[in-house]
Amino acid sequence: MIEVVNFVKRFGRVAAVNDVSLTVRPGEVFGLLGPNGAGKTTTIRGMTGLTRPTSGTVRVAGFDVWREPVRAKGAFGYIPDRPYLYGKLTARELLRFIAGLHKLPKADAEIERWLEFFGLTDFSNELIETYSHGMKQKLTIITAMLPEPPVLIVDEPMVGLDPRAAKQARELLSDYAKKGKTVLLTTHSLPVAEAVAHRIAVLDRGHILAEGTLEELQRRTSEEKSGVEGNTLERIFFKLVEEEELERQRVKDAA
Amino acid sequence: MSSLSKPMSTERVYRASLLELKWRGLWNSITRGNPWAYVAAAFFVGAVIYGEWIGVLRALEYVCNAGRTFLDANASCSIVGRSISSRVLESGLLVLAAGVTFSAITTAISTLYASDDLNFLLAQPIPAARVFAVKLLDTYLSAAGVPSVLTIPPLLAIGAFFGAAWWYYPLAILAALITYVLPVALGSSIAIALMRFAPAGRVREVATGLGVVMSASLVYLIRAARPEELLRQLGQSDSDAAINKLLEALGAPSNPLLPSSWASDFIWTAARGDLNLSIVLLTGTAALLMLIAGWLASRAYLEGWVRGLESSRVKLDPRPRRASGLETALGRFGAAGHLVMKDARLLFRDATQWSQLLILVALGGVYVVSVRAFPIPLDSDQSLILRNALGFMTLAFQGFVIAGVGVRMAFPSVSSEGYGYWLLRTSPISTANIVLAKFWGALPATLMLALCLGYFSATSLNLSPVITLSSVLVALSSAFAITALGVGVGAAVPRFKSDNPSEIAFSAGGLIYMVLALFYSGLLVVIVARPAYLSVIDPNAYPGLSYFATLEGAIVLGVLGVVTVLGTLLPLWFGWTRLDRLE
Repeated sequence: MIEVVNFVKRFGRVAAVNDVSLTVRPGEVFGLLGPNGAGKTTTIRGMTGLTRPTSGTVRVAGFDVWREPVRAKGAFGYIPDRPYLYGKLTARELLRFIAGLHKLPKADAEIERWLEFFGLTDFSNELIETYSHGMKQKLTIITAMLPEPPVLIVDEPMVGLDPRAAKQARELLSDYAKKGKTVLLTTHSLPVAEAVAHRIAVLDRGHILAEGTLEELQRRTSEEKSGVEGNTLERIFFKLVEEEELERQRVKDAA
Repeated sequence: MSSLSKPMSTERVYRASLLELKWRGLWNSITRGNPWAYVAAAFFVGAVIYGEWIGVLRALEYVCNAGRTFLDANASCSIVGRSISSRVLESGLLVLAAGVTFSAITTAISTLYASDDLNFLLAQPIPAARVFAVKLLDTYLSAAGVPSVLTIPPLLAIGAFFGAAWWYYPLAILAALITYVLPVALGSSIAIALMRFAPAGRVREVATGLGVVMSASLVYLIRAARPEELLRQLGQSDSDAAINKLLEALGAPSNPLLPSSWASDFIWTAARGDLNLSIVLLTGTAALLMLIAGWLASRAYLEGWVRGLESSRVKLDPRPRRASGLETALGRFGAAGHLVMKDARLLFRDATQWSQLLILVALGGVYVVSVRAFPIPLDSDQSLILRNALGFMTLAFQGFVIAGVGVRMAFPSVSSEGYGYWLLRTSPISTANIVLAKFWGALPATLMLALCLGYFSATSLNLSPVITLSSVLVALSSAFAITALGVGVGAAVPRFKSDNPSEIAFSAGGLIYMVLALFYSGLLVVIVARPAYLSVIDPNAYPGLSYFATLEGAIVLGVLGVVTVLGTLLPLWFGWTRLDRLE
C-alpha cells in the first residue's frame, strides 16, 4: 500500500507539489497522469526517497520513507524513466548485485527466468554499456521486479520499449497487481493508463485535479456537467486540464 | 507563417555564441547554488591561497639567507638560495604539468567526445571547429584549472619578494598558464588521433596507457634532477672553484628541453627584472601545438565523434555465469560486501579508475627512492641524529603522499556512482552502509601504501625503534583517518555528474579534503613529536621501545589511538549524514 498524506514539495518559493494526498491499495494499478511539469516525477521521487518532502508524509507498505528508509526501500521496486545503470557490469552481475542488496536467497534461477522473459539471455554476459536504450529499460524493470516487492513504483514505463516489450510490460504490471501487489505508474501514454490502471489521478501544477476510476472521471466530466463528451481518458484528461486553466484565468481576471 | 520563419528587420537577430552559452550556464548554476557552500568553498580556497603566499614568502626568506658568502652578501637572495629556489620552482611546475599530462588525454576524450551536449551542438548549424574550440577550453579547465589556480599565488609571492616590475605579474601568470596549455593541446591531439584510428572500444584504455607512460616519463625527469646528489656534492666540495661550478649546475635548468624549465627560467629571471626570451619559445611551442590540434580537429574531429557513436564490440555468450568465490565471500558481509565487490569490478574494468592505482605505485616509488637516495653518512653519531630527524620529517611527508593518493582513490568513491546512484538510493541499504562500504573498499590500497612507506622509510634510514614504531603507527593512523576523510568529504559533496575521476579530485571538495588531510598529518606529527625529539636528542635515554612503557609514552599512544578513532569515525558520520540529506 502507498499512502501519501498532504505531500508538499517546494523548491525555494515554487511549490512543485502542493498538498497532494492519495492512497494506492494492494491489488490495484494506480495511474498518475498530468502534463509536463505537473509534479508527477517529484511526487514519485518523494515516494522513493529521492527527494525529501517539505511537509507531509509518504508511507510505503506501512513504512515512512524518510523515517524508516531501509525498510520502506525493501518494500518497493522503482523503475525510473531514464535507465542509468552501471555500464561496466554485465546484466547478470548487476542482477546478482541487486539480489545481494535485497538479501535474496538463491536468486540465480529467478535471474535466468527474467533474462529469458525479456529476451536478454544472449546479452547477459555483455557489459551494459553496449546495450540499447530499450534493453537498459528492460533490465531496469528486472532490477525492480526481481525482489518481488509488495509495491512497484514506475515512472514512464514504456519509454524506449519496442511494441512487443511494451505489451509485455503492460501485462506484467496488470498481473503484478492481480497477485495482490500495489502498482503506481506515471505515464504520458493515455492508452496505457486506460488499459492497465484501475484508478487514475490527474495532476496539474502540483495538485490533483481529479481522482477515481475511469467511470467516475467520465461521470465528472460528462456532457451534462461540462458540455463535453467524456467517454475516453484522453477527453477526460484534456477536459480537466482545460477546466483548471479556465478557473485560473477567471481568478487572474478577477484579481 | 512567414513572420515566424523570417524575423522582421526591426527584430533583434541573435548570434549564437558558444562561449556566452557556457558562461550563461555557469552563471545560472552559481546564482541558483547554495550561498553557504560558496562561503565555505571561498574560505577554504582563501586559506589555501593565503597558505601558499605565506609559505612561499617564508621559504624564500629562509632559503635566500642561507649559504650567503661575501660574493652575495648584499644581494636580495644568496646564490645558493637562488639556485635551490629556481630548481624547486622548476620541479613544482614539472610535477603539476605531469599531473595535467596524465589526465589530459582521458579528460580530452570525455569532454571532446562524451559530453552530454555534443549531440545537441553538433546537430546545430555551427561549424564543428567552433564546438571543438569550446570543448578544448572545457578540457583545459577540467585538466588544468586547479593546477593553474594553485600556481598563481606562489608566482605573485615570488614577484612580491623580489619587488618585481609590474609587467612581471601578467607575464609570469601567462607563462604558467601556457605551461599547462601544452599538455592539454598535446592530450587533445592524441585524443583526436585515438578516436579516429585506435581500436574501437579500447580508446580509453589506450589513452590511459599513453597518459601513464607520458607522466611516468615526467616523473622520471623529476628524479633525473637528483637534488640530493647536488647537495651531497655541495657538502663534499672543498674548493671555491668546485662550489661555484656546482652552483652553476644547480642554477641551470635540469631539463632544458622541457617547457616547465622554460617557464621557470622566465619567471625566475623576470622576477629580478630581466626579460628572458624563453617566454617566446614557450608561447611559440604552445601556439604550434594548438595549431596542430586545430588542424587535426579540422581533419578528424567530426569523423572520430561519429566513429565513437558507432563503435561497439559484442561477443554473445549466453551461458549462465555464477558468482565467483570472491563475490560469494564478500556477499557474506551483506549489502556492503556486495557493494565492495561491485566497486572492485568497476575499478578494474574502467581505465580511468584503475589508472589511479598506477599513480599510487608511482607516488610510492618516487617517495621511497627519494628517501633512500638522501645523502646521509651511515657511520657516525651525528648521522644517527640526522637520520632520525629525517625519519621524523618523513612522517609528515607520508601523510602528504597518502592524501595525494586518497584524493584519487577515496574522495571520488561515492561520486563515481554517477548517474547510477538512484539504484543505491532506492535500495534497502542505508547511506551509512554505503559510505562504510566505500571506506572498506578504498582502505586496502591506502593501508598497503601507508605501511610500505612507513616500513621502507624506517628500514632505509635505519631509524631508532621508537621512530620506527611511530612511523608505522602514523602510517596506520593516516591510512584509516585520511581514507575516511576522503570518503566522508566525498560523500558530503558528491559530484555524480562527472565523467572523469580526475575531474572529481580537482573540485573544490577535493581541495577541502587535501587541506583537512594535511592538517591531520600535521596533527599526527605534533603527537609523536615528543618521542621523536627524545630519540633524536638522546638516543640512549630510552633503549628499544621502553619509552612507550612509560606513562608519557602510554599517553602518546592513547592520544594517537583516540585521534585515529575520532579522525576515522567523524568524517564518515559527517559524510553519510550529508549524503542522507542529499536530494
